Amino acid sequence: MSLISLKDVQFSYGDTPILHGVSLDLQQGESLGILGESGSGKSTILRLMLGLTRPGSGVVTADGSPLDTRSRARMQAHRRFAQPVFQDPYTSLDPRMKVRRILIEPHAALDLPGDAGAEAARVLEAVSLPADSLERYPRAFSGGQRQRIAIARALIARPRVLLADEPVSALDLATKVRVIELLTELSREITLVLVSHDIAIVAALCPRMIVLQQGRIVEAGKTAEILRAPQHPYTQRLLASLQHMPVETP
Amino acid sequence: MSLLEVKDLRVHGPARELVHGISFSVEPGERLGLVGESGSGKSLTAMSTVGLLAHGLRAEGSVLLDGQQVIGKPDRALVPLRGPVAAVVFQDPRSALDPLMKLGEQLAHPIRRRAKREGRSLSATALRAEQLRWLDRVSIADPERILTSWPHEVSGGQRQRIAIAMALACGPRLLIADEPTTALDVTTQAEVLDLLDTLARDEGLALLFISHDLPVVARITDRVIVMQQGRAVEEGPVHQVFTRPRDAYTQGLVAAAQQLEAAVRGMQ
Repeated sequence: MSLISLKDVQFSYGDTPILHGVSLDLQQGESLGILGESGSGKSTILRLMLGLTRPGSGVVTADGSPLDTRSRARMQAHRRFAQPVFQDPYTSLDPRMKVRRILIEPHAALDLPGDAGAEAARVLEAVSLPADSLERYPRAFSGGQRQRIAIARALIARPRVLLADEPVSALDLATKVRVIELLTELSREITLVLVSHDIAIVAALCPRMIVLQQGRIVEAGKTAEILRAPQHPYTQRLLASLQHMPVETP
Repeated sequence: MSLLEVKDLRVHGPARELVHGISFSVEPGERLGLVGESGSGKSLTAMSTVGLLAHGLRAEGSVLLDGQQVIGKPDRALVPLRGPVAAVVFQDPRSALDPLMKLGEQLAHPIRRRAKREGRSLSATALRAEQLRWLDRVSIADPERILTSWPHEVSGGQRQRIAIAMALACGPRLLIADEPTTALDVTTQAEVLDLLDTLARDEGLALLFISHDLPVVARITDRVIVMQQGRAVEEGPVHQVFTRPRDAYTQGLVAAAQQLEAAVRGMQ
């Protein structure tokens, strides 16, 4: 079943065109990586999927109906359906709020069922943070832990889609690998849309991918097939630009 | 004599010690990488070697740059070393360039200073020829236009190439590069690494290359020091350290980097 789709979407900031007729389809259980360099329009696609912005032309459909960003009721339903995780865990958490309030606030705002306290404890456990984290402020946590809190906040809505914009690129290497493992675990239940400039992250998390260049999809399909035999010259160049770890010579 | 010799370098912050006694040397033409995660002290170590620590930080120990002691010297005494001996390329080319000065004028500064140092007179025509030569050396297309452009009018990759041109125009023997490709896209990163590799070889430069990115360090350096929380935990030839790490922390870093790469390789 299609969770979110974009049909021939155009988008501009003023006179600057950002997206030129982008169409894509997010299927349940088939996490999608959106790979592109800076300025390719990948974050704009995510903002459109979140309903934070409207397309100039074309249609964004979510959970079976067009996403009308002007309807409060529609957007509240959409927030329960799709939740964001942002890049920088140092700016995406309110420093004045304890973790408990960070987690409970969306529960109240989205009018979610169940006991808020119990739900906060549930999501904290899902991201492998200790229960006493609830009474601490974001400053008490490392970058990786903060990103876990941001993911926990997204999980409280029990969303079907997680829209993540470069969720691990601000993290150190070892932390990055652990947060990827967490997202892999979560992606068994929730479908991910992952925006990244990093092929390795897309390869680790997304069975399907699109390659975006200057607002156009230049390649789309199964991640394994694209990495094995990239068709578009730009994808070929991206893969050829990867730096490699040395391997032991016998 | 080593070009750079660091002995028991300690960097003190306002409240505590941040680098705890690191020692290493860089020979002429050698390429040394400093790797580590954020907060490991790699940038503090590198900036201490040219006396560029931020306000409130204090270095202790010994840093001999071309035989001259850097630690404890007033800023003015270090000016003759910065440029002719060691030049720096920073991570973010947006903040390394003056936003209110056209690129040609920024590039003219090191060229004029070098000419003055070498006792050469520099006519306007000669200056322009040198500016264009340096832009050509860093593979900038359309150099005439770039000279009259503002920093915000060119791409991140072009800004970093210009920052590299400015550093090299000083005529240094050691280039200190602090995460010079981290802010760049992957295709631009590969181009800038190729460029640094070629320039270092052609100019016979020594490199002190700081990065958290192991494959990038493997690409550009010969020898590596792994730093963790202000200490050097392992040092050796880069191929050896990244294929047969001895220290537990290095082993963790190498395993993480290999795990990420395996995700891509596994599909190819």
